Amino acid sequence: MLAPAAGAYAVKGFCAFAPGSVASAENLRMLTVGGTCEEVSATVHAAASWTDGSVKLAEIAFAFEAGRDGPTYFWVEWGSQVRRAKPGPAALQSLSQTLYFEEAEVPSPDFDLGAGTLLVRVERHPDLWYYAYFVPTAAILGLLVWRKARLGR
Amino acid sequence: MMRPTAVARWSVQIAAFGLLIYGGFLVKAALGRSVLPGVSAPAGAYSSNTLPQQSIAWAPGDEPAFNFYPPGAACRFNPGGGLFKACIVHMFSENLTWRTPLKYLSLYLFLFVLLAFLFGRAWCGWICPLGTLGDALTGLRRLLHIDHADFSGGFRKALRICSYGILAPTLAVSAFIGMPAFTPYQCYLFLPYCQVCPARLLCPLFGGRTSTLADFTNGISSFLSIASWVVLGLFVAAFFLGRRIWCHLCPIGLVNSWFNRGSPLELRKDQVRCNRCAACADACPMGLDHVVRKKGKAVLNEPGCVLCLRCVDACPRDSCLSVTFWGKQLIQSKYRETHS
Repeated sequence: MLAPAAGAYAVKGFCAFAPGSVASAENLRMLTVGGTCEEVSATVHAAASWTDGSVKLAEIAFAFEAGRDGPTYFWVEWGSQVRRAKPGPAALQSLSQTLYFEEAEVPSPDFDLGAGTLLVRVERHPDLWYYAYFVPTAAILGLLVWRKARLGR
Repeated sequence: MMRPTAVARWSVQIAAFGLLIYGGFLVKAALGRSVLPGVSAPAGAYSSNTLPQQSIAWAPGDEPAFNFYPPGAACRFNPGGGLFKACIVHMFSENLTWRTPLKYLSLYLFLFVLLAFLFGRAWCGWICPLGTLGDALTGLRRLLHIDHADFSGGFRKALRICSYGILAPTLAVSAFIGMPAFTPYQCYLFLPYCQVCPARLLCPLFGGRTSTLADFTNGISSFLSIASWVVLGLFVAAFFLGRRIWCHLCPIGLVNSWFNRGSPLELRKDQVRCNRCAACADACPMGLDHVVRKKGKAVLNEPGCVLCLRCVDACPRDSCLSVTFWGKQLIQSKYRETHS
């Protein structure tokens, strides 16, 4: 079917930051998009640091209960006032599949370098079934073009 | 006295009209649920269900029976969600706005391409509910003994160019309001063609819903409401006076027409048997004369032809015109003294 099974997934991804913008991995947290923007239980650590000690690349991992439809969006919020309240999930390895951030984008152009939010899009694990439909589609289009060319002669 | 082909066509058109408009109630009641998962709007983006209730492009949260986009005008705003989700222009529009990755659309594109390839523009001639309403208007004109207007080939070509002129800006606006910086405009311009499409006005009416007829809450929605009524007036006038001249302008028909030539459903002519009486051209509701004009061509699937088979019905020569599917003959013209 089109959508893979709904269920629990481990999500891992990296977000890059400018020098001095995120002093510590503790100044960064994940929020749900929409509604009350609740904090998501996440494990964050600095995978790489700038020479001033600030976070260059943050590795973020959290558990995610997927529905059936489409991609899911989260905010990554950072700043000196931000404190992660929820500790990371204990058993990410036991979840069914690992997903990765597909992209992270800044939602508005006038954000403050030292504090702000990134919109993160979480894609499901690549599923061959999605792409399998392109094979017969291409075959039909090829047949259509061939028949048109044949009629044109 | 109606010919068997005309009886078959009207039967299919009326059945398709009922199924497309009321299938949301009938088929979902039988199945108990929608078939196929739908593509949903990402967080923060508008969909036809999340627009304000008074918006003219608003569907009240009903899921269709079959969650995909067939060729032909299956309107999103059918009562009860309708049999299918929406037309192909709606699909391109909403998914450009939502910036849906192509892989999520692969199944829907496959189903559309398959169905459009198999039947070409027969979807327009036999299934489209707007075409059925239009043919009913044509029938009314005949009852009133009013002659239809004839349009030149140049005018029909101009309409076809205009249909590209409708489709291209529709897709461009849809993509534009999908960009993060322009999302505030989604509340006005989401599904831009639907805002003025006659199906969006007519289909909910048949379900007894009038909330989508007009919205005068702000300047843009007022303009679009008035524009949609002007387009509806043109639609009625075009079908009443010009038979299916509207179908040359329809962007859904335009997409279907890309599959007409090359489809296994073929309109064929035996050049030797044709006496160029032009009965086919007189009968054609699209105003086409290619069947009588073309020489030495066996297959006559022009982009404008909706494969309604009126030309086959009208042809007085035995086996001169025929319709085949994968080379197998389905129907052919029969000798009639009255036209010879």
